Amino acid sequence: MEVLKKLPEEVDLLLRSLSTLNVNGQEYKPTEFVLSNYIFFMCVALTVLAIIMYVAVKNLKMVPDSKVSNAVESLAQFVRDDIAAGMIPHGSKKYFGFLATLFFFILTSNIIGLIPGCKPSTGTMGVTVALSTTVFAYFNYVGFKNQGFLGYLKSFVPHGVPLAVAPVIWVIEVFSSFLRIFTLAVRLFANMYAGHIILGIFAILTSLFIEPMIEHLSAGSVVGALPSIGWLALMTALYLLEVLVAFVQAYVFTLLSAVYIGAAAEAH
Amino acid sequence: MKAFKKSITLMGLSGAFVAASAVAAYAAEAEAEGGGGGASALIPKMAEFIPAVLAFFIVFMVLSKFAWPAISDMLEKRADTIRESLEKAEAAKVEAERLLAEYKETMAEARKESATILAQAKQAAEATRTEATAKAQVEYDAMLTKAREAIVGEKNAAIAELQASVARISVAVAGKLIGSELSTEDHLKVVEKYVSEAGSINEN
Amino acid sequence: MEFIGFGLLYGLAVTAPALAIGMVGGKAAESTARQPEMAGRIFTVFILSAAFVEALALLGFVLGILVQGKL
Repeated sequence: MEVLKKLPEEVDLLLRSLSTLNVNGQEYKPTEFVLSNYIFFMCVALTVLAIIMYVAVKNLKMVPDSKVSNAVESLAQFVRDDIAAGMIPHGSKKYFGFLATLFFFILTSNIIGLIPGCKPSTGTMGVTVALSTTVFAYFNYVGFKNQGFLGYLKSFVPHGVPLAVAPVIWVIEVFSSFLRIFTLAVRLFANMYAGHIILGIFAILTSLFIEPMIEHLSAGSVVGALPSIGWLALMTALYLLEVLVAFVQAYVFTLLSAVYIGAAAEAH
Repeated sequence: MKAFKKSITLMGLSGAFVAASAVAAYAAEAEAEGGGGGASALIPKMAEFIPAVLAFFIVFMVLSKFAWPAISDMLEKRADTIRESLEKAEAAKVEAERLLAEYKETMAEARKESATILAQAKQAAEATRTEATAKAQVEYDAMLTKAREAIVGEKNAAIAELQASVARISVAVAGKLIGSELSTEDHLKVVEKYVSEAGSINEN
Repeated sequence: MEFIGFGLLYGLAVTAPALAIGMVGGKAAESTARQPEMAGRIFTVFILSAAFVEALALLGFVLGILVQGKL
């Protein structure tokens, strides 16, 4: 397979393009504080989100006739009823704003990332860790506020644990609650990153197989280009899957945040 | 559900441990190699972390002020409106059903009443007719009787007068024929006797 | 050699999540069949579990990609 010889360097290029770069394509240096490509696309996503929200709120009516506000409303209702009310037993209304912001932030980023040429801002650890840290800070704030300082600290140990092992359990539970920052961030990041790598690899394969046919048209090169139809079909299927993943990951991230907030909001 | 939650927690925990150890290992390696390279993608960069946190907070503030209250109010208002109109429709339906039942009842009552009235009228008419017939019959009978009586009376009177005049005429005829004056009294008696005999024969 | 390493890493990383996601999906289908009225709740639970499991598989994949240049 002669065409596959080019694959490693193409994949390296793809990986480089998916790593954090300066927005002008230059190598990113941790010491410099500059606009990176992912932050640029985060700004794009947030601008789009702001426009969508503006249109939606402006067209809010008792009998909805605007598609935008209809879509935003049904998603907001989904967040309110299925995520917030489903996971937080009491007073879920207070946390609706936070969860909805989270959901729409991630969803818009993911969807913007699916447009060819754009990147999902949730495809870099910097942004996902920022989101999960915010969630961590928020649910701890809710816990301290609702249960009191000592009450919240005590609530890490479940009821009915013998006093002897309680400190050990407490340490493990506190540690695991800190790990939530990491699990949330990595889940979102890995899904987005891996999805884009897979899409990119199939795109590279499609173009690699079709390249000889474009360079010089002959019977051999046409037959050689046939597999690229298969690659293209696979890529299309995976693209649809990625659309689903964009929704599901926003849902899962928000759902887990709601679970954590619900657990912190009252003693269990 | 509890077992499920537990298993989810366990799964999450194990995932976290795997991830944490892997990242720790690769971070150490990346540092050893002087940054860059593969695992650096798993280390959050401050140049992304800080803008993202700031952006999230700005979005959160802005949307909490302008978007979420409006949307959530609208959702609640719509739900209330729908619930209210459903309740209203339910009430209207009950009311309509009640009215229909009432109407039906009234109709049945009216029908019953009209039937009663009709029957009464028929009865009354029948009674009137019977009465009238009876009265007419009675009147007819009375008139008939009177008429008969009158006829009988007239006849008797006529007969009586006839008898009387026959007797007188006979006496007068006889007096003229005989030329002598008969004692009127005696002869009248005789003639009357004959005439009455003749009358009685006539009558029979 | 690099590709073999990546293949092994990904293959090994994905075996347990594959089993797990199979179990989750099977159980979800079973529960839905047993209690169709709970389908919505079961779907939520299924998506949650699948996301947890999937994260492990994806982590393996991403690590494999990232390590590729280092072996």
